[in-house]
Amino acid sequence: MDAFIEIAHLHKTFETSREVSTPALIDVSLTIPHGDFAVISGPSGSGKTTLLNLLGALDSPSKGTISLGQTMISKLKEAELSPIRRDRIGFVFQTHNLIPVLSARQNICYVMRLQGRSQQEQESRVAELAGKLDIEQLLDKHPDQLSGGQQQRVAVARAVASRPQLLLADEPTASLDSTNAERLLDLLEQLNHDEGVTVLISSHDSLVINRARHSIVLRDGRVVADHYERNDIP
Amino acid sequence: MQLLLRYSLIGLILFSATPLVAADAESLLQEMEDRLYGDTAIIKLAMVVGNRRGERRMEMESYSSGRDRNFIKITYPAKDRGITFLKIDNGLWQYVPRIEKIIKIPAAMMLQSWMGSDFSNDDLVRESLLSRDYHSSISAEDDETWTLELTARAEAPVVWGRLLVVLSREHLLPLRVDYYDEENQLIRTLEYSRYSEMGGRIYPARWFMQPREAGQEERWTRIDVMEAAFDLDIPEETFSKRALKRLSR
Amino acid sequence: MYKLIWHMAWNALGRRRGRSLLVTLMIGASLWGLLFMEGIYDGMTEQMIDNTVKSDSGNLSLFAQGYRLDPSLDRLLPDSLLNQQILRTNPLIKSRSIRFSHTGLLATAHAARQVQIQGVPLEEEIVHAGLSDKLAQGRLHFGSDGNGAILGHGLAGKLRVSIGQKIILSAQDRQQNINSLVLKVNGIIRSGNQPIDDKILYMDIEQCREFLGVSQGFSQLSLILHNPDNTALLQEQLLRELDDSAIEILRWDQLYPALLQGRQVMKTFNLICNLLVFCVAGLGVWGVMTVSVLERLREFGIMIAVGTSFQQIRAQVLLESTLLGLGGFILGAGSGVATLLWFVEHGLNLEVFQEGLQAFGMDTIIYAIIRPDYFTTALIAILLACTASVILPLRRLKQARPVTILNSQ
Repeated sequence: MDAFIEIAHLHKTFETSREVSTPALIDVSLTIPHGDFAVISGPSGSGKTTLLNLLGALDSPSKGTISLGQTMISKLKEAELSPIRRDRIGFVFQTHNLIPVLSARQNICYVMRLQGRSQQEQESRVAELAGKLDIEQLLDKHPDQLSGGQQQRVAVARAVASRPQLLLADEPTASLDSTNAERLLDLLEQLNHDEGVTVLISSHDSLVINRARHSIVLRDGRVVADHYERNDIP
Repeated sequence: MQLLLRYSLIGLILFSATPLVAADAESLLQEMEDRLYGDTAIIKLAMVVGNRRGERRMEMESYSSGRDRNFIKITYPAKDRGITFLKIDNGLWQYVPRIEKIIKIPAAMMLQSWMGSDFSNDDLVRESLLSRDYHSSISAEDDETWTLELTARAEAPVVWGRLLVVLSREHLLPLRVDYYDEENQLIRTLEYSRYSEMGGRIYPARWFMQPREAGQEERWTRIDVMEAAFDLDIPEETFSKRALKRLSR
Repeated sequence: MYKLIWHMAWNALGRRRGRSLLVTLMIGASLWGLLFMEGIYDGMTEQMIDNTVKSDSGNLSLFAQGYRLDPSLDRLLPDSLLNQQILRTNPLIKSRSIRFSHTGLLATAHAARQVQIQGVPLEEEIVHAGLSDKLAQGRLHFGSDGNGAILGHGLAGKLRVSIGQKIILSAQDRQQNINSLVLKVNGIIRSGNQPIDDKILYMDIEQCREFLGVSQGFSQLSLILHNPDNTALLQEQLLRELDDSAIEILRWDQLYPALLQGRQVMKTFNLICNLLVFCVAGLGVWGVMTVSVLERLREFGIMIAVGTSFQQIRAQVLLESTLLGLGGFILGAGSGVATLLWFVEHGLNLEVFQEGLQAFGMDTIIYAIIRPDYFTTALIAILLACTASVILPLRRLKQARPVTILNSQ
């Protein structure tokens, strides 16, 4: 198994006040291979989002290490993390995903512009993703003119437009009805399949959990299950 | 004060005057002024300055010789006592005992009020001769008076445009003088009254100066002549700057 | 990359159009006020100086040694001084005028006032002091007999005289006698220099000398230069060439140190005004930017999560505030220039405050001045204010972890 993400003895503790500290993750060790389609599930407060934020380099662990490819991201400084987020990770949040001052098209292009991709490349990528995600009609609208589902699709488009190696999605279906949730999951699977993106989703939605090839269950900050469904190991 | 000077000497005229048999205005005036500045006079007088707030009295002694030499000493009130003034020719000096200084009064201060009265320093000094500075004519007469109308000559350095002088036929003394400006507006009036014998002649013992300009009617200055002596010898020494200090005591 | 930052900043401002416009207007309005005040006040000061230079001090003035302490008729400059090469053909000198000064008393039937008698060669004085512009009534002429006089406006008012009226001038001559002379009011000037307006009586210099019993000489030689910056240079030249034991050579600012002080005070005042604008602009932008950054924390969080660096966000926020400042600057500078240009041309008529202004020796019509440094200083002040105003919000952004920002709402 070709490990893409290596998590070793990860601890994350939140200092809620001077005396009280709440452990969010306790001694988590995981391996995620390239091209995986993994779902982290567990009840609310089990540490799913915390783990995702640590993987997305949005937060730093209290203890333990995270490697992304050959890079030990848990040891990097903030300034060194920006290019990692920009070039290697795509993030889809639960809600309010988009930059409100930009149109859907501009949102999708945003990371590519950060990367300095050519106008032509941006346009063809937008066209390609818009087709796949069925958002051609929405491209010139601003986020506040889009429904939750539409916003979520645009967010996915932005997250993958820059061709990241890893797509993180935090409760992506939470604000969607089941039809839209299914469509979104279809899409993520398709991207995983077509573009080889490693997908890691946190969710306690059974629709999502059922699609997982690699299922990780957290409870009270600990990994209580970590297994592959249908012998579907990549 | 020019008037004070001038008319303080009018008495002079009359003492020796034989009544004039009427003549033209020029000679009336000429005659009057010749006698006016003819000789010496020593006068003790009180000057009372009044306005809305009250009145203020000063007393002084005046020594004059001819028309261009005059020495004045303040004798009352105590705070001003000993202040002396000397006018010789065209200059005016003042001695202030409190600071023991002789001050030459500059031209710029000449028209400031003299000791707070309606007379100015300039009145004291100005060598203005009615007969020289004004054209005159008799504008009216009756059994007791002549009224002379005096208009300023073009080149004469006098501020008045016109004077009306009411002269008593009996004494050849002024009863009233009205001062008009160039626009013929009455600016002030000087009235003479209380004719009585003083120093051997008939002399007006009260002169009353009343400004007539708008806003100034409430001010006035009155001079009461208390004693007068004429034709005495006044030592030359009196009209010197040394005398300012010496005679101050 | 810059294009993206520009794009983001521009969009952010556009999204809060009302607020952006308001802060721009606020900066613009305070800048307009600042420029207006600077232009008018500087105009006032410079006019005051100009009036004094023309009507009295010149850029340089020559007096007999000791005259200024004791201005007697015995301390005069000789007529022969005017024939000195350095004064006759000096390329630095634009105009010169001699003045014969003395104090006297001017009387009418109504009132009397102390006056500064100024015997002048009228033709020269008209050019030198720019009297034609100052004439308020009558004409600039001493009459065929030389008995005409030109009075300061304030003096004429106090004596209640008008053109054509007779006035009596008394003064002590060189022999200490008090002489009197009848003059006729031919003209009334309003120089804007209060001591002049309240005291001055111009008369023919020959007539004046005769009146005061002086056969030759004059009290002051006033020089105006082509370029006032050469004043000190000419002063040095004259001090070298002329006998300075007999002659005092003084610059206008030595004669009127208060005016120079006035200029310094104005400079300080302008600086304080700039500071005020800096504060107003700073506070305005700070308020707007703080709110705008704090309410967009989530937005910045997303931007950081997808890979935007803090430097980029900082550049964007700085650009936003700078754009606001620049907008305000353009608005304020534009309207300020337009307003000042109008007042440069037409002047600001302050006749309502005539008395007060004249008491300070100022004109009632103030012509504004425009100096480039008004704009550079204001621009710097605004840009500094804009930069300073985003320091705090940016610090807050920088200190937080991305996840904290992302989760703030």
